[in-house]
Amino acid sequence: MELGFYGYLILEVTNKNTFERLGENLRKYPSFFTYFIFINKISCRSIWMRKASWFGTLLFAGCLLILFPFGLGTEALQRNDVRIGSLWIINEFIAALIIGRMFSPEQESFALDYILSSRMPRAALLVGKISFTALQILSLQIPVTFFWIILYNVQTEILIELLKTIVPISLIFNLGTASLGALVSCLTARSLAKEILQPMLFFPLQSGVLLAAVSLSMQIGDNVLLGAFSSTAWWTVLSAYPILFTAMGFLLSNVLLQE
Amino acid sequence: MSLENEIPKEIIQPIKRWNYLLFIFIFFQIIGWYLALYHIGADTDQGNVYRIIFVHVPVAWCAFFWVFLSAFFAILTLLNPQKSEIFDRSSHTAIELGTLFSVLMLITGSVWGKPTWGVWWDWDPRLTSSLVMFLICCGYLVLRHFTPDIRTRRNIAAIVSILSAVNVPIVYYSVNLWRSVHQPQTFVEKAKNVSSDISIVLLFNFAAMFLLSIAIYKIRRQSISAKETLEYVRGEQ
Repeated sequence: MELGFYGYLILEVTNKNTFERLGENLRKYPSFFTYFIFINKISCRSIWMRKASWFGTLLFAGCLLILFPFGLGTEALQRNDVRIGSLWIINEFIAALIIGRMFSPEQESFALDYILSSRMPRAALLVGKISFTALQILSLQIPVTFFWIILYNVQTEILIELLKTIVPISLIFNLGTASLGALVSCLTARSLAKEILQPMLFFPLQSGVLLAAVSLSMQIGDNVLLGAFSSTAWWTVLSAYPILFTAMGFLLSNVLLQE
Repeated sequence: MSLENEIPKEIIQPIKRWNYLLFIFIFFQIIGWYLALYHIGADTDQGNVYRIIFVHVPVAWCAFFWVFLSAFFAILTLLNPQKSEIFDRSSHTAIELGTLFSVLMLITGSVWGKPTWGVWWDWDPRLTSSLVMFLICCGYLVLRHFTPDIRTRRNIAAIVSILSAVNVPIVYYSVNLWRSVHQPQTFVEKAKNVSSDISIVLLFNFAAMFLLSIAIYKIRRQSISAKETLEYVRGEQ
């Protein structure tokens, strides 16, 4: 029977030896992807070891959830107007806190110098950190959104539609925020007033993605602030952030990450 | 002033030689403002208030130009490490001018906004993106101040400068991208937003303002160069 090209390809792929050979080669000559996975793994482990910081951030977000209605009005009508904005501002604070500690686990355990002096491509470290930070923000967004739905009395009629909109926006928002945050973290790492400079650069640059997320979420429900809604423009802004800042981080990784 | 603190002539001389540009600017600006105030007629809707356009628009164009030029020098700083010192000084000076003209743009815009919109400030895309551009320029200057290592300072300042320039097209096209209370771009192909009289006077005023910005650039560039050289000689770098 004639197997043809694809037949041989399937046979080769399903052959156990092929996988063993592949694994061996990856161990010998690690690729960019292997390093990327490695960074995600060690970041995940370090977060697991420092669970208290994750819970601390969650508690802080919870405090904000309670504080916003006090500041902006507890009446039902006002709460409806401010609820979407409140959710995204809480997400913004979560992101700012996580980005402030982006490289801290590695720095505190002196692992960053080892990583930087190894043969690992710096772009892999940066991209790995971006992806992990995006996931870390998401891990906090999920419980925060749950509490937000309860505390801000989000109606069940619009809940599914709202979640359908918020989930993709959140994913892009997190990636955009994490890529920009990685860039800003690296830029301010060697300055004297890191804690002032980081938010000073991060918030103005991040305002575009926050505005886009708020404007796109506002279309759900009967929101009075719907006035200036232009969906295409906001989607463009939202999608441009992760692409632009990841590309910048990738290209400038050798300048940004120095021993 | 004590003798040891007196600035040497070798430093002062190259800074002072650009003063003639300031005199040319004053001459051109007086003519520009005379034309804007007496040659051009009042607007049918806004009356005489619109004449601030002859300050606001040139200032805004200068802000965009210097922020862009700073990013251009910043790219050269990153691409050419041998000459990074020279390009970094130019980039630093250009963004200082960008910051100065950005704040002037925001102030003149506010002064124009009060009688036309009834408010000093509106969260409009053009205004908000201009404010963001100004804040990033300020971030650049603060970041430079707080980064002691000179090599790191050059590299990170270059990256922030590029980031601030990314914002310039957003500011310029924001009136097209989003619904805005701000008027559309002054010069757009196919759409004639201003009469030819206004265009000529506007360009004349821009030339005068640009001359002023070049004079400030040259003077400030020399002083930054002198300051860094002195710091190097004193062993402070």
